[in-house]
Amino acid sequence: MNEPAGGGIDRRPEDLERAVVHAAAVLERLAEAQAAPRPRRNRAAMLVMGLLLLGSIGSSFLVLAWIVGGGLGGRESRADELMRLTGAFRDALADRAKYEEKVASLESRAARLEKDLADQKSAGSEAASELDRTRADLQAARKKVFEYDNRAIDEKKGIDKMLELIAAKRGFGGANPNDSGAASHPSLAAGDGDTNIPVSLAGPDALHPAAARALKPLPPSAVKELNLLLAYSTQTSLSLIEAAGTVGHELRDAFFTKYGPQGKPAGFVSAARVTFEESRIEPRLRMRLLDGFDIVGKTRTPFVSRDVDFRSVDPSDWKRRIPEIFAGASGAAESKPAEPAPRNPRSDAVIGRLNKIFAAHTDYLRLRIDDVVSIEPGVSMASGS
Amino acid sequence: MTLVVDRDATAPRVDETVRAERMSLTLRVAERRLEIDLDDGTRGRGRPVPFPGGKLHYFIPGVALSELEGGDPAIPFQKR
Repeated sequence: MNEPAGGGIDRRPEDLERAVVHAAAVLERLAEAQAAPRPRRNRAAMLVMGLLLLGSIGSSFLVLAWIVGGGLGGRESRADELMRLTGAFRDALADRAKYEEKVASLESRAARLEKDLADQKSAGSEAASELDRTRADLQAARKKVFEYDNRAIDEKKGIDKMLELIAAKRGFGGANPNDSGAASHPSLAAGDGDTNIPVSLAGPDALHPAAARALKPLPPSAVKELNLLLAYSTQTSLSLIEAAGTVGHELRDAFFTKYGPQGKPAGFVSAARVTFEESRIEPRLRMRLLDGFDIVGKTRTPFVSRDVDFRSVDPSDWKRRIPEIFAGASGAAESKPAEPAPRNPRSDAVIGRLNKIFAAHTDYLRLRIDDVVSIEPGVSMASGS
Repeated sequence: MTLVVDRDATAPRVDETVRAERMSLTLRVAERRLEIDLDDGTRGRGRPVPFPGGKLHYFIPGVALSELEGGDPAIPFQKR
């Protein structure tokens, strides 16, 4: 902006004044030169000097005319133009600043929108993958339900086949009174046919030969009556399939089907002994399963005892209907609970010690051992190694 | 073997009942951790469900060797 126009010549007033002073000095030196005594020169030198003087004067006037005419007149118009250009430039700068702000705002908005879009894309992809996983799980669960349905149907067929086999073999308990219960045991009869029973029924107190000789077969009518009682007077879903027989008024080697909430078979329950008791306080009968197993699939889980209460029943009526098992039920059992399977007192002491240790460390989880059938000595010996 | 499990230590209640055919105890002495290994059983309060893979494990941290050793009768456990 401060650069002078006109090929680098300064056109300020100071420059004009300096040019005039320079021209005056040139004229003064010329006058002095004319007044001084002239040396003797030849005509050619005089001619050259004259030409030089004329050139100098002409150039001075030319410079003066250019400066006066072009410098002053142009200075005013260029200043206006400069002012105009400066104003326009300032306006442009202001507009540019506005647009710069707008650009910055739009850039930040675009960045935010891009980020939101990326987040939404990632969330969408996560939701899509979650949906895929859920669909896959659903399909697998449906497949499992279908498999379990098929398995339940197969188990039901196996049970029916076994019942037919048992009924055909011994007339369902009544055909041959001398038939040993142990001989009719499905686990022993398995070699005679395809029973499709998943596990052996032999529990820890498998029927002893002497006890087997004392067995009395349970008539089918008693099985039917007991199943009616189980179906309508209990909260459990057990159904007696077969028992080896009765010793006194106890069932031996009983085998029950356990049904799930929807009435489908959900496993089996076996018990080496089943006792029946009557409450003296209220009209209630109790069936106690001793030394048995919960059987789910191929898994056998032992238990020591399990009670099944028949509530709101008339004990005397059921004693008449199923004398084989209820005739011996008396109120004495209410005051003196039946002894479960003989347990090792050392097992109870170990359980007590372990439960104390568990109770002392409850930060992570609480455990309590309710009962133990037996303790294997091999583990104890291994503890010393 | 019947084991009653409660994971909510602040409000004791029975979360589930575990029944297993075998239970073995292993004490990680250096880590002071008692491992309970259960084989062939079921778990659940309502319908019992077999253990996944036939096995179930629990850990009790902070158990010292002195708590298990000695005493009569001896607690059957393994040391590692």
